Amino acid sequence: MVRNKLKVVGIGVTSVALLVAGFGASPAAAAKSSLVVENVFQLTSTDPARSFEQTGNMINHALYETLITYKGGDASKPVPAIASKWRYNSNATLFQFTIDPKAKFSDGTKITSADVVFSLNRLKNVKGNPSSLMNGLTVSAPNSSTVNVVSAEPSPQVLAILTSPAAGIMNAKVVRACGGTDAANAESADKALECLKKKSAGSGRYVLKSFNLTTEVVLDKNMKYWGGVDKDGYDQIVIRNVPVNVQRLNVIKGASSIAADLSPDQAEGVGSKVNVIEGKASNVFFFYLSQNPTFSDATEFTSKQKCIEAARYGINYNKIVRYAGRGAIQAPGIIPSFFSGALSSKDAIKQNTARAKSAFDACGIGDTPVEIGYWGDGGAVNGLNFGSLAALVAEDLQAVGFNVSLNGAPIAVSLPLYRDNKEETGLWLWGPDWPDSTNYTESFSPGTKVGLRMGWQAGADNLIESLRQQAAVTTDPKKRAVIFSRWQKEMNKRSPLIPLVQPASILVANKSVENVKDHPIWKINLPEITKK
Amino acid sequence: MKPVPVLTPVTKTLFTGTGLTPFIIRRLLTAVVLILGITFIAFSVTQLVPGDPVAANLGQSAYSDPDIVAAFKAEYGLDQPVHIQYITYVGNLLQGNLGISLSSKRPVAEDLREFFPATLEIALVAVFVALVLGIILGVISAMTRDRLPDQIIRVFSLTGVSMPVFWTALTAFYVFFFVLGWAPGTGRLEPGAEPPPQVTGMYTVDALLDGDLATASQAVSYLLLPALVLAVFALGVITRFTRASVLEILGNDYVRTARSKGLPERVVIRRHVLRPALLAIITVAGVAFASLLAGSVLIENVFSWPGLGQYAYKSAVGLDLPGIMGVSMIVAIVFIFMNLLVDVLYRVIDPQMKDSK
Amino acid sequence: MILSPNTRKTLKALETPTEKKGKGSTNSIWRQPLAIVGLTIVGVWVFVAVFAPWVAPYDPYSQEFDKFIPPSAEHWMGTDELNRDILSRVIYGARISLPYSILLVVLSAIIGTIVGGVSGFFGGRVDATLMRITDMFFAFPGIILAMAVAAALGPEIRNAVIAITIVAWPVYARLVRGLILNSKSSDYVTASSLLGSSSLRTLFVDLRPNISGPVFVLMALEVGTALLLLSGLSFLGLGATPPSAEWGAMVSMGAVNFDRWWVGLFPGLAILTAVLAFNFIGDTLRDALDPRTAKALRD
Repeated sequence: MVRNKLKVVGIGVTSVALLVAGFGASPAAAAKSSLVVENVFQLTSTDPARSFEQTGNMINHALYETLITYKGGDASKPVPAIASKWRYNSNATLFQFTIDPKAKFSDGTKITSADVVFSLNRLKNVKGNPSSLMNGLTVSAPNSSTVNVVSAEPSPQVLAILTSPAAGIMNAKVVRACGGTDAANAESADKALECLKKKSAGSGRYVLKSFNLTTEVVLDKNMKYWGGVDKDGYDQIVIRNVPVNVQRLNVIKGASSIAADLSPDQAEGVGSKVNVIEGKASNVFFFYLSQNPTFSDATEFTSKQKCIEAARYGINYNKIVRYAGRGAIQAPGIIPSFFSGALSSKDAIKQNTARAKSAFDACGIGDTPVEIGYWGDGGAVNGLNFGSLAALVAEDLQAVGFNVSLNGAPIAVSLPLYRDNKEETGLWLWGPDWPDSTNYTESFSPGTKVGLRMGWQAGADNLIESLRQQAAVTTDPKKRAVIFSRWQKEMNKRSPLIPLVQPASILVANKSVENVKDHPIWKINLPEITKK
Repeated sequence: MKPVPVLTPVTKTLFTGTGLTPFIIRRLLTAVVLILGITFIAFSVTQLVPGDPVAANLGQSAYSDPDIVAAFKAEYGLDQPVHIQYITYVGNLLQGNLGISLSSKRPVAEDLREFFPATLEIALVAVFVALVLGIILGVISAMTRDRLPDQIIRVFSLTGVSMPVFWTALTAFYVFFFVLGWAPGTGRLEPGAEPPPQVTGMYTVDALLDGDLATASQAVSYLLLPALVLAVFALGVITRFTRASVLEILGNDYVRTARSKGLPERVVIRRHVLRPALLAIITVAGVAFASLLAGSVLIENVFSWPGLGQYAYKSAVGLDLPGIMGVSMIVAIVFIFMNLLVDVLYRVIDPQMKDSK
Repeated sequence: MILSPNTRKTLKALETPTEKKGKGSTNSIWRQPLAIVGLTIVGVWVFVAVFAPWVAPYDPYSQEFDKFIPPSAEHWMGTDELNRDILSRVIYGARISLPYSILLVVLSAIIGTIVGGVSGFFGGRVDATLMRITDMFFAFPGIILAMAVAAALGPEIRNAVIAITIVAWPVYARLVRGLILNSKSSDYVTASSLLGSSSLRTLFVDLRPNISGPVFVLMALEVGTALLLLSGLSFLGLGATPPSAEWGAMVSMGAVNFDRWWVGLFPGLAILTAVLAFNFIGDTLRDALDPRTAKALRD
């Protein structure tokens, strides 16, 4: 009995000791400066040719450099990066870049045009998510410091495309040694993915230290950076996968440096030790009605102009913008505010319930049940929860007279339905594949990617389609702006697409962190951040 | 009917005998059948899926390209008819290959090797705490039956099993991390801290094996809160069960006989109450442990603890069939193993008690 | 009547010396304080659920107020992220959580009783097969299967009920089978079949009274678990969908807004009190049974 008692006491003491040690443990003193960025991971790898999602872009922008890039939070004026100068012909079919003679990779080797050609061909041939960026483009190297990008059709968006982190320039020798290839069969033959998870092969200000897909990615400063190492830059960047509600707590407590996903609501009341940096998100939320008349009873009506009009004028846009919180604006058109030809607020559709109701009666749908598809199970982007948005829209449509119900589901179930044009109506968003307005004319017109998802076949609207053709070949910036603006106005008249809201993109950063800017493509300008 | 030649008298006893070894062998065979049955259940259920894992795991441009879709399907065998897919899966399983996860694109076995120890860590601590406290409280409760200590303990343990665990986790996290600052926050280690070299996958154990006390205590501080929240439910269950078992045994004739013989109360308790009660409690602990593994889903969700529960949730929501099957298998194996262990312990401790199932 | 070796063994194991009946169970169940408390709380919730439109101060779906008002005189439980009154939503939440939990328990009990009944009554290979299948479902990590099914069918409270029923029935099967095995060998059943009663008659007339009592007690004990599972799935986003006011989904909104503590606290308390109440009742009922069946219920 005594022995048993002793055992119990012994165990008890050890537990208490561990408990005390545990709670009392203070963090090891950091020898190097560390920037802790908290983000909800949208990440598959750190291979630029294969990753096309937000966290991937953020990290790759710090590891790899592109020919040209943007500074700070700007997404319209390219500045030199690996290329020191560039020029292009008047019909935007030939772009020539001169590589900066000082440019070097993180292992000290010089960057040559062969590396550029390798990287861009690999991007095209590996057939990963971003490979469509290189559609219609071919790359060649007339000499070791010049790169030519040739486009079959006039492509004024090539400059925007080449700023994408997916077009990051990789050290061809290192990647080949890892089993990588840029040949035409790279889709199956390239084996560099595993190797790139352990080390990076770029020229950026940071190199990869460790990669864990579910918890965190750690970057170390590139001490051999060819543009000169910035002593005010952080020695280490840790990007952690943390849910949004915890991000808020952590940044308030000072346990992290930057919280990347807070909504405007959550950015309120964060206290005086942090700065709130506001930018406009590049995401636009929209609602659409299916134009496939044979899909269901409801879609027989949703494909009628009058029903679209009833929805378009029945939605209470102000209420939605209020829900989206500070910095959000009603999307007057599908093109976000900082791109060429974006509409202004005076062009935005205003709710007009009288007009909506009379259009509803003319449409004749009556109480045929209509469903709204969307990303259920708590999906949220820029702080806006799809379920809550859908509830708001549903409320408005019901007031007009629609017999509407919600049909949200986890992304694995709802996304395929949307992509396969199997929804009656849907609430989704679009983030640009590259920072140019042609991404919108090319994706939302009849017969294009999202056009088809809405059931809008080619030939459905000649005027809009001809505007799309014009936008594809016009290079003069002023003329482009006019075309994009007109395209959106026509879309607002007749298309099944109803743009809703462009939210704010918010970063909350500790006051000890400087130069933090929110960027539409790579979210945070990691390489430029310095400490006070 | 002629007996099957392979069953010589020796091997026959191996299967049908009454000793411990045949018992274990019989149970292992049953376990194999059970596990196969589980894969079948998981497979059938996920085949009723209306969603499309292909679309969920490819980006939007890639999904529009039929070549990429076909390549993805071929790689994961999604283009085969259903029964072929199942047979392939079982065949691979027998070779130790659990397939490739559709979302992480890694072998499921590797995913499990990473996530299972994380859950194991908090589950072990939780069960330990729950057992120690639960037995003590349960005995006190039984010994002071219907008096004040008993009533208080009963209400507490009932509350413990009635609390929605996700709500408890949220409240605990908010109070202990945000308001009081006692707990260090989410994750298993500090941001940027290097995990110890992997031996078991449990950071505390691995750090101790590596001689790295600082990392070990850091790991402990991060796992305490999730483990304690996990323990709350198990504590309630074990307390109640201990109380019931002790009460039942106290009412037995041989206890009364022992008392009437004049044996000191201490001896009565130890020999005639605790020992039989321990048997029952071991059963409950075993079951509680297995159910903790599955129940950690909600806690890991709140604390973003990268364990089996999180993996299960992501696989379920992403319709990642290999992932779902992998998790189900591992939890089922643990459950079956615990049952087996408990039954073996029963027989070793009390050879007269046969398997009453 | 020749008893099978298995039955004989089971009988022997159960033939313990007469155990003293627990002190509390000689009293009427109505005198037990915990049971009274439990019944009162359940009564309150049932009343609230039935008379919700009259009890709730506002419309639970109306988005007319301000966002995130802390608890105040006009809004006892504050408002949520979509400007809705939380007290009204908690009240209306009872209309979802209570009926669906009970539905879940009833469905599982029916399925489990049939399986267990068939298994125990017919014995032999039928018994062995059905019990193996039951074991399989027991070993299966329930919440994982429930998540997968709910995700596959689409998040909706109805699908969550289906998903959980699939994993919840085995416990009834095992209980019923155990009870039938006990009863089958009791004297009056033997006498009855000696007198020539048919099997079906035996099943319904002689066995049913022995089974229905414990099954109902188990159902009472399981309502709490059902409620927890349902709200758990809704918390994960796999159960009730917006804009319905379900308690688990409301707690998950509270998780998104940690320091608006009232958003998650009150729905969580609602779940806690309801489950606690059902557990009080179930516990007391179980203590009132004779020890043998009580033991069977505990295992």
